[in-house]
Amino acid sequence: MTSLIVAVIGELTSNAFDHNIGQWPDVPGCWFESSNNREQVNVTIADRGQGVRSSLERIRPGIDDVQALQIAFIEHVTGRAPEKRGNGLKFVMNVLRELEVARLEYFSGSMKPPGSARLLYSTQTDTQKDVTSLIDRPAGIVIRGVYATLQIQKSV
Amino acid sequence: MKLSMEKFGSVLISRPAGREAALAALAYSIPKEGDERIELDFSHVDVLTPSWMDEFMQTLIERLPKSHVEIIEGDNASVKMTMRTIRETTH
Repeated sequence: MTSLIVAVIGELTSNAFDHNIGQWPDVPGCWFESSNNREQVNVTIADRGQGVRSSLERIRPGIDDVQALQIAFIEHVTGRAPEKRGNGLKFVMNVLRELEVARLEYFSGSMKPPGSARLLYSTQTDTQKDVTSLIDRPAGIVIRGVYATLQIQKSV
Repeated sequence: MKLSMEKFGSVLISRPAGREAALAALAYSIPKEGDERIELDFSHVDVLTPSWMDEFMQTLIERLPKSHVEIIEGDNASVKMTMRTIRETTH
């Protein structure tokens, strides 16, 4: 399980840099915070980058933040087209669906109306749900960039 | 020929590292001529991500036919999940 946890954290963190290099609106880099004990890993990763929507708008003009998360978590596309990539967030979901107890809350926004989008997945309630149904636009949350929190139970 | 992928590191995560590994493999490890099959052996790698693998393969197949490349996954969970994700999204 350790290799999967490290891989997921690596993918989420790499995205902050891979999709914002040369595009940082103000503060470059990402915030990374973690706690790790025998039972659980908790990680927070946040950046003030362009967000998923802005990253994908060049290949999918007119999308909103919710549609951007749907594309990012489901389709094999990347904002770095014509590069043929875009597996990172699909990989994250694949790993989470294999774990016994895990929770991911992933916000992305570009400070444009109608507000930020969120994917919320918990193994306790969502194992049978498709990705589209996990994405919404919670009221009152407006961020720029990406804010992700991940909790993984190591042993049950 | 078999290429032991742990030579590029035991934790293979970032895109830049994947591209750099492929360029090094093309320069120093993989024959520049001939039709020899290349086996990429991940058996002793600790962590692999799709980002690293995508970058490595994209760079590699710019110079090699994809049909000449074979993957040995081994038992590592992140290697298996990376390969599964790539298979799901490219087929």
